[in-house]
Amino acid sequence: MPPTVEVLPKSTTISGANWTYTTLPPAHAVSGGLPASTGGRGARNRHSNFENTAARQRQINSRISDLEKDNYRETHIPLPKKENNRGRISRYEILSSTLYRALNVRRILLSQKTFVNHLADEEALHPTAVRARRSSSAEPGAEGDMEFEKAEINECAIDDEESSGPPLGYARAVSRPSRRPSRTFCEICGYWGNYRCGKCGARYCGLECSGVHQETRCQRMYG
Amino acid sequence: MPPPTTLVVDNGSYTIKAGFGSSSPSYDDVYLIPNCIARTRDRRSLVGTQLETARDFGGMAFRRPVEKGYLVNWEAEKEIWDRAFLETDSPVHADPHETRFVLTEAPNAPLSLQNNCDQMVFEEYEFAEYYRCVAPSVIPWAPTLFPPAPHPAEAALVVDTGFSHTHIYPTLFGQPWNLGVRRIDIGGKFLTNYLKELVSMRTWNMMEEPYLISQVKEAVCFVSTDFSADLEKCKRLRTVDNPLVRDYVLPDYNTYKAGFVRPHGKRGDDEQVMVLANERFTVPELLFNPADVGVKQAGVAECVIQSLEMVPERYRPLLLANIVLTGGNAAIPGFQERFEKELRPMAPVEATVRAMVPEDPVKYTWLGAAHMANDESFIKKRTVTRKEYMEHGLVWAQKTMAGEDVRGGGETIKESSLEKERRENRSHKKRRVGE
Repeated sequence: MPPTVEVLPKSTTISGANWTYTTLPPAHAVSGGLPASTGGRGARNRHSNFENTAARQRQINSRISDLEKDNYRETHIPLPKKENNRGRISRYEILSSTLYRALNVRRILLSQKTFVNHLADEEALHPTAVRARRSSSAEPGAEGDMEFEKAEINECAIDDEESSGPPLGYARAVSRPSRRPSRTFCEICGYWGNYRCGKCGARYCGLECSGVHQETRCQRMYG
Repeated sequence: MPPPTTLVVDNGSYTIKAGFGSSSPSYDDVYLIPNCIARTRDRRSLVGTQLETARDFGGMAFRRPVEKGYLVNWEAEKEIWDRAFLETDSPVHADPHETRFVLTEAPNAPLSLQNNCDQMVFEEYEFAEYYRCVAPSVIPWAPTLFPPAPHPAEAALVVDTGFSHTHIYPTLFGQPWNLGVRRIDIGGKFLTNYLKELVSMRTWNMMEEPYLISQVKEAVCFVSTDFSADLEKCKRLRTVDNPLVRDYVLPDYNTYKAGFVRPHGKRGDDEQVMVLANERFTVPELLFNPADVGVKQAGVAECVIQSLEMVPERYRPLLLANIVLTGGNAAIPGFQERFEKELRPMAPVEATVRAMVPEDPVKYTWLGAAHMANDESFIKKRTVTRKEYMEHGLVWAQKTMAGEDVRGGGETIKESSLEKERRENRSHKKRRVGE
């Protein structure tokens, strides 16, 4: 079984007892590969264990956040101007008149919060597993940790009236890491990436793709 | 008295699936509205269905009110909803004061977003009645699983794989099994972006063409049932001999010709062709192996097992035999075969593994919600009227929608036969445990 808690050497992560600053992409910051603490062990093994270095982790994380983007560049797309509709009189215009609009609605419409902000709010209000366990006020089956739940499951259905408790919340509902060994792919042609560039760590499948990589893609001049 | 019309809206992050409920809802009642504001190359903004009028999708940028599957930006969403639900020339135009509004959201939504949503629906749109439900939780009501429509299916394990993420959602007796709900952060957008990245590195630079690439993805991608063999094939065979290679003829926005796919071969004089080989299946492969790009999560099939670990053991075979695959990615060819093939060895030997892909996996959730809206005994308990909202406030309304009995014992609703049966089952089990 792969480790679920990863020790990353010399990352830009600073952490305390139960808080962390992290450079992880937002979806993973609250859960997923949250670095638990920093340590010097990996730094010594950097050359033999490239995949686990902080630098590699940063590469992966920035790639994941790239893949989660809507647009390639950051753009602000304004709403179309209202003049287009001026010819028509519709409920839509009556409703959107400022007179009609409640204070709450105005606040919601003007809110510039992103999903990450909302998630942080949620986290502050309802701390997830790690902290809930410490506060010891955990309800069985709802706030406790995974092992605790497992024991509870079978009784849950018998005693419980309605269902298996309230929703887990965003952070705790995330899937655990896969148990399978990881695979690597050639960055040039997509075949298995059995070899690694000594300079930048990119994967390739053989001599041919290595040549292409060295000539055009390798980002580091000196390894 | 219930309002005369019911508007059912499955508010997805890519498209809004909207339509009016009826006594026998069908796929034809659904209208797809792109849930985005697009900006064209010449800086015009297109809202919702206006996107269909565009002829040049080159360099188009998108603003989506639904972020990571959750409705976040109301400024943009209001613009889209206004045009869809309030403009008289829209096919799903409704008078909110005389409409029951059934809206879906993704599982495990942050409370602050739910608050925003409820306030907007009641205070800005002023719908007469409203029920906000979790999207996969309506699947038990959808047809073809169990024919008698008004009753929810006894067990259904919903795998909802959409544009932003994939959810595993076990339901028992029409109720979600919340402990077993799991999320994988891989969805259609992720796949599109991955394909965009691969193609840009290998053939044409497509970084600014998300729309085109999503069309390419829909046209050529498939889930491989034997990944390493296919990968081997693409490496060993020459391109001309390889049956997996496809040409995608890129659209020419000058003559407004749409792009299309064809087997690899000779190309015409003024055509620009994108040759795709292992990209066709390495992209959807991420759904089954997110670790391929470094996402530290399990694939769909493996995640089903993780989810089932949280379900009481006696229900597991029931769920394994009633898996429903919904959402846009379930329509990728080969998804079901691969899913069953991967799940089979991980499931208990004696259990049947059966996964179903509905006829139209995109609209299926809507269909489920429309059928659920016909289940009067259920919907009556959950919907909140505007009057009640004004009287009791937001928290009360949310508790009602979550299924808590806050209306008090005054109006006891006759329990459906299924619930009664369930209760009997339970007391029976209790007895057995007692023995």
